[in-house]
Amino acid sequence: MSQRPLALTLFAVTALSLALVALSAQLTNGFTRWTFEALRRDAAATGRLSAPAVPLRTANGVTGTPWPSDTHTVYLVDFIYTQCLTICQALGGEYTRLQRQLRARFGAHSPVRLVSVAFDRKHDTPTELQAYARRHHADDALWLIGTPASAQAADTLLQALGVVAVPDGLGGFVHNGAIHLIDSHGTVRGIYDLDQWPQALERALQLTGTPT
Amino acid sequence: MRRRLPWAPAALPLLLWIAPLRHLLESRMLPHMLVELPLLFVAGWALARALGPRARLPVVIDAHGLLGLTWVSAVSALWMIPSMLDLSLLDIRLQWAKYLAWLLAGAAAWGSLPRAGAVVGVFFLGNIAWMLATAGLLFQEAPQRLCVSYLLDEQIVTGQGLIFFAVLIGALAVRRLLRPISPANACRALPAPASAE
Repeated sequence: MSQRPLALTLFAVTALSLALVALSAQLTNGFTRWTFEALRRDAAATGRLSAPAVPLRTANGVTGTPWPSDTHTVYLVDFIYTQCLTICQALGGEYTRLQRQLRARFGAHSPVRLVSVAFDRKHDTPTELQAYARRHHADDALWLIGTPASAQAADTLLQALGVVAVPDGLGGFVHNGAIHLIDSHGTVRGIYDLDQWPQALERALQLTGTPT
Repeated sequence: MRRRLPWAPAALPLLLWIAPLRHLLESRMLPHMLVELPLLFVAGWALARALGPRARLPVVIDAHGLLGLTWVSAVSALWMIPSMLDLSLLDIRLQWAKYLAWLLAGAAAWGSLPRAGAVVGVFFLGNIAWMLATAGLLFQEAPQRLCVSYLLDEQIVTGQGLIFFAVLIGALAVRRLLRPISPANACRALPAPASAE
């Protein structure tokens, strides 16, 4: 074999390797994010994640997501299912604490509102939503609890935000149990773990221009 | 039978058009990584074999099988990244890219592996085996889910499966290294003599 094919081969291999390294860097945000959840949080932190407006069915009837709106309200949004006995109950507990703080500071006119989206449409009936709200002392003025009004609405919202619920084989789901900070335009401004709710609240208040 | 139906394995990816079957393969991590991806690879291999020499990369850019085997390594590495598995389920463009990349990897392996000498072949096979083993260990050791689409216990079992594949490919590499060198293989394995000046 002459040197010419080897030189051309090495050139082609180098070009292919460089292209694949560039692609990998693009897909992993510069070799720093290796999981979908990490990429999703990066997208949220840089304002590249948007929550579409979808109709929600609540215990009191059908309404819409509170975004987009002309107000400067900011929303702390979590995803739950009412049959959940683990993380959703913990989220509910933290939301109860958040609600207490908001009510103490702003009364019924809080610039930060809570939204819980229940994704198990089969079981998250208005009755179950009401029971969940009662269990966590939810105040309608501060905390909206609803399930997407149609399967299409659920797919639209969950896919846009990258929220994935995986059946756990025991009749429940494993899902991203995080708090999403969403502004009045529907743009996600941050994603916080359950135990980071004070930081989520602080950031929400900053976005509304309220001193923390 | 194999000679009578050379296209049969190549047609396997058509099964992925059947949505329930595709869902069955992709709804769990183990069949997704260790059945679907190898199946696509085998189908690509079979497709190239059925097409014959015209399915090979031109030797002018694939001396010693380097370009084809680089592609195989790169595709293997890329699909060990956990986010790629999730994205392929959530983004249809990446889903098609996955099918195409693995089919091409199988075809490239069929065309390029015979061109590779013992050293080049063992280098690439060993590299892939090492990579699978590393990913397998990480999948087993990670305390949290690496993919939002799969459960933690599936991840651990898949990690064990990756180690199995790593050992299998490592054994192939050793077998290739220990294979008696025929004159034809020796010519391929050794560096080309310098041209007379």
